[in-house]
Parts: sequence; C-alpha cells; structure tokens
Amino acid sequence: MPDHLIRIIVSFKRALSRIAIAGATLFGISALVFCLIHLIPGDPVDVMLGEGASLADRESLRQQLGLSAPLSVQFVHYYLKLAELDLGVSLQTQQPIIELLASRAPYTFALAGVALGFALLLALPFGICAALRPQRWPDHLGAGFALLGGAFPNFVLGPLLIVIFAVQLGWLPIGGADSARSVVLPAATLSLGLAAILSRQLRAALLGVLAEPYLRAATARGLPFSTILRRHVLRNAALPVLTVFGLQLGALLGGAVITETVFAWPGLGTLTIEAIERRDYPVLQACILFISATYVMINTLTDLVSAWCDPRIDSAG
Amino acid sequence: MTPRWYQHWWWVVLAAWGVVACMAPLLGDAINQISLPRMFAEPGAGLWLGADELGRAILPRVLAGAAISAPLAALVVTATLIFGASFGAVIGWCGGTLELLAIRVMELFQAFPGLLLAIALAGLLGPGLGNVALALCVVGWVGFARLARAQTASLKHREHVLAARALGTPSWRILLIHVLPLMAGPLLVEATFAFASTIAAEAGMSFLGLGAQPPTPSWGSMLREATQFLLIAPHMLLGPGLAIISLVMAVQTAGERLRDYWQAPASLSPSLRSSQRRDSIIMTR
Repeated sequence: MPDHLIRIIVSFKRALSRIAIAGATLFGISALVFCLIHLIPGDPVDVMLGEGASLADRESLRQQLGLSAPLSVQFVHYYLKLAELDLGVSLQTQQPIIELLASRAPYTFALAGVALGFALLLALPFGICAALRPQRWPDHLGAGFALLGGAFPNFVLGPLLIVIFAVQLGWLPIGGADSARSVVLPAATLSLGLAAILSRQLRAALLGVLAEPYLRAATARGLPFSTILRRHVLRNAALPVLTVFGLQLGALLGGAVITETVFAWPGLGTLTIEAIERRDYPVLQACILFISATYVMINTLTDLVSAWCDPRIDSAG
Repeated sequence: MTPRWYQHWWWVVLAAWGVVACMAPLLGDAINQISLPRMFAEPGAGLWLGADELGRAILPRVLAGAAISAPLAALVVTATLIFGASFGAVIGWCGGTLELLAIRVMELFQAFPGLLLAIALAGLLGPGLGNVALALCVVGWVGFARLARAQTASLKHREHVLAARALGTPSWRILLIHVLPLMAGPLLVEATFAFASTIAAEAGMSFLGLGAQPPTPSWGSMLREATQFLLIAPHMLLGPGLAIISLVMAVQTAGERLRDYWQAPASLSPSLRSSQRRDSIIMTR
C-alpha cells in the first residue's frame, strides 16, 4: 500500500477514536445533568412550586417531570427523549425548551464569536511585540497587560465599560441587543481575559519558533523579515495557540453567563440565570447540557484540526 | 538579575489583605450603619470610597469583605487540595483499571466549563455562601487530583520508592513520606492559582445573587448592588472592584513566583533562573 494512503488511514482511525471519546463524554455529561435535579435538597416539586401549591398541582408536575417513576426508568426515559431532541417544556412559559434554546443560542454564539475576534485583535500585537523584544519594554508591557487582564473580572470590567462608553461618552448602548452596536461592550468585556492568556501563549510559541534553525536558514537566504514572520514564524506558532484557544473557550462560555447578565444580553447565559431565579429546573438542565455539549464538540474539533495540521500530534491521546 | 524593589509589590498587597482580613471583625457594626442623608455620597474626606444606596460607608464594607472572601477561598482550596491530592495519589499508586476509570470520571468533570457547573450547582442548592463553597469544592478537586495522579504515577517508579517497597513499608507510609514531599511543590503552586480563581468565582457567583445575601458585605454582592445604581452612583464600583483585582493579581503573581522557584532546575545559577523564568511560566500555561 502506498505510504500516504497508510497515513490517511491511520489519521482517520485516530480521528474516529477521538470522536468516540467525545461521544462517551457527551453521554457522561448528560448522565451528570440528569443527576443534577436529584441533588436538590428535599422534594424538587416542592422547591419548584413553593410550599403553598395544591396537591393536584404537585401531582401533575410530578407526572410531567416523570419523577414518580423509579430512578432507572426515569434514566432510560430521559435518554430516549434526549435522542429525539425532546427536552421537555419550560415550567414557566410552557414553551418547548428546544425552541427556547434555539432562540437564545444565536445570541451567545454571536457574542462569543465577536469576543474571539476582539481577543485576537488584542493578543496578536501584544504577543508579537513581546516575542520580538523579549525582556524589553514591549515584553514588560505585554506581561502587565496579561496580569491585569487575567485579574480583571467580567463583572467589574463590564460595569466600568458601561460607565465610560455608554453613560459618560454615550457612544454605545448600555445593554440589550437592539442594534449591532450592542454587541461591542459585552464582547469587549468577555474578550479581555482570553486576550491576556492568548497573548502570553502566542509570545511563548513565537519565542520557541524564533529559536529554530530554519529561521536562521531563512534569514541566510535573504528573505525579508516580514515574509519570514508571516510564512515561517506565525504559521508554526499558530498551533499551540489554537490548542489553548479551544481550552479557553470553556472559560468564555462560562464567563458569558456573567457578562450576559451585566449587559442583559438575551443569550444562553441570561436564560440560565433566569431559569435559576424562577426555579425552572428543566430549562436549567437543558442550558447546562447544551453549553457543555457545545464545549465538548468545540474541543474535539480543535483536537482534530491540530492533529490535521501537525500529524505528529496523536489525536487519540 | 535581582528583582527590582517594585517587583515585590505582590507580597505587600498580600500581607495588607491578610492583616485586613484578620482585623475586620474589629469593625463591628460600622459596616452596617445606615445613614440616609449621605445616600450615594461621592468619595471625599472622611468617606474615602463614598457611600452606598443606604448611606453605608463603602470602605469598611470593602475591608470586611476580605474577611469573607479570603477565608472562604482558603477553606475551599484546603478541602479540594486534601481530597483531590489523596484521591489522585491513591489512584496513581494503584494504577490499573481503577486508575483508567477514575481518569474518565475526572475528564467528565473537566468537560464542563468549570464556572458554569458551579453556577448550576449553587443555583440548584439555593443561594448562600455555604452552597457556593460546596459547589466550588465539587468543581475544584479535579485539578489537584489530575496533578497528584500524574505525579504519583511517575514518582512510584523512582528508586527510593522501590527501595521502600522492597523493605516492606506499607503503601500509605510510602505515599506520605516518600511521594508526597516530592509533589508538594507543584501542588502548592496549583493551590495558589486555585485560591485566586476561587476568589474570583465566589465574587462572580455572589454577583449573580447566588452567594452572600444582603447585608453581608461580600465583594461580589457589593458589585451587584453597584450595578443596580450604575447610572446615579458609579463610584460604588470602585472599592469592591479594586479589592478583587488587587487580591487576585497579587495571588496570581505569588503563584508564578512559586512556580519559578520549583521549576527552575537547581543546577542553574540564580541569574539564569530569573531569565528563564518568564518562558517557563508561559510554557506551562
């Protein structure tokens, strides 16, 4: 068999096993989410309806949630419904939860996408300048930015940006999602922490590449510095940064809960908090499941892309 | 390169917050003294950080907040460190199917965005600092367990451990005397970073209304109040905001310094150590 064909088969098998692991993780996640509702101290029905609810109401809710069946039956039932993408209905609005998720998710994805873009815009100049002048002022500036950015919580930065850009200067809306401009402040808030980590990661990756002999060879061949930077340095430094990128996305999705609350951004984060406040536990479960499943899938995708870019990485590992 | 004087800022900040956290109970009732005439008073002489929506002075409340955040974070980190490290060390030592199974369980916990799982748990358990601490414990132990497992799995093949086994030393004794001291450094570094992130997470959850309830002066819940009056009294952000940022920055820097200390090979001269320092910080991130 030709060599390249073997390589394709091997990488295909590795990709398959990576996907199988992701599938198992998704199964485990949904099992944990199933357990969540049984963690509520006391009777979940009492907690959801309050003390004053009538016996009939309680019984109908218990039936609706299937809580009167034995745990094993509930468990199987839960997975059967999950397979049909039936997540039940909201206790508050009686709306199918899948519709709720579908209406909110685009907002969260848009916010996360713009925040990623902002983070790259911030991290690239800081990381590149720091790596090109290590231990000099651009590097110290980058280190200071990373330290401050890593310690600035969303719930301080968000209100601060509101005070400056929405109240004092009046350039941008305070909150909501009425116009495209509304996304700027929440995305900026969400991006700072990510930019701090990415810039340092980029710096480390660049320093590693800059020490490689092939760069000296490229310089010796007389290539202009900008070409070297673009073609040899940034490309090779992209991979470790990509890995961190995938991992940090979880922090981004978790942080979105707080950021969305600050800016009243109608995404999954505010839906989660609303569900907690209204004790709408089926919605809460669905939110956690959906966000975590997204996180797992993005991480799997990142792994597959890194393995595809650099065959030395064992994607099954 | 010896550190310049200003590079020692972090432990000055840490020490200051430590003293404040210990002295905070002396503030007594001052933190809850309502005075409606000075409602939303801006910072000025005698009222350094201004007053809040009930005319309570913000400065003593911020100081008292240290006595809530720091002990809670210390408690959570200690509990997760002890549980996680013992769990990781035991499964790393036993190996085999048990280890594989435990690794899968830990991966499962890490498959959730951490803060999200903590928020969901605290939401289900009901508001309160105790539930926040419990939720943070459930999420936090995995990091220590993974680290301890990896360390134990590699340390158990060291010669001094083999020698101890040959002499018939019981496993618990080997783990305690011959393995634990060798992984104490990395665990301590991890614990320092965990302390910083726990402070931020507790504040975040109190900000969402899941943690400390009024009138408890937790930094997160003070910020929650501040955002409700953002348009009329933006100065309310200042005190609790600066408190969280300064403490988290100082603890993170402490963690980085500790990591340098344990990571730099002993053979390196001190000057080489510090020049290698930054790179080692970054590489492990």
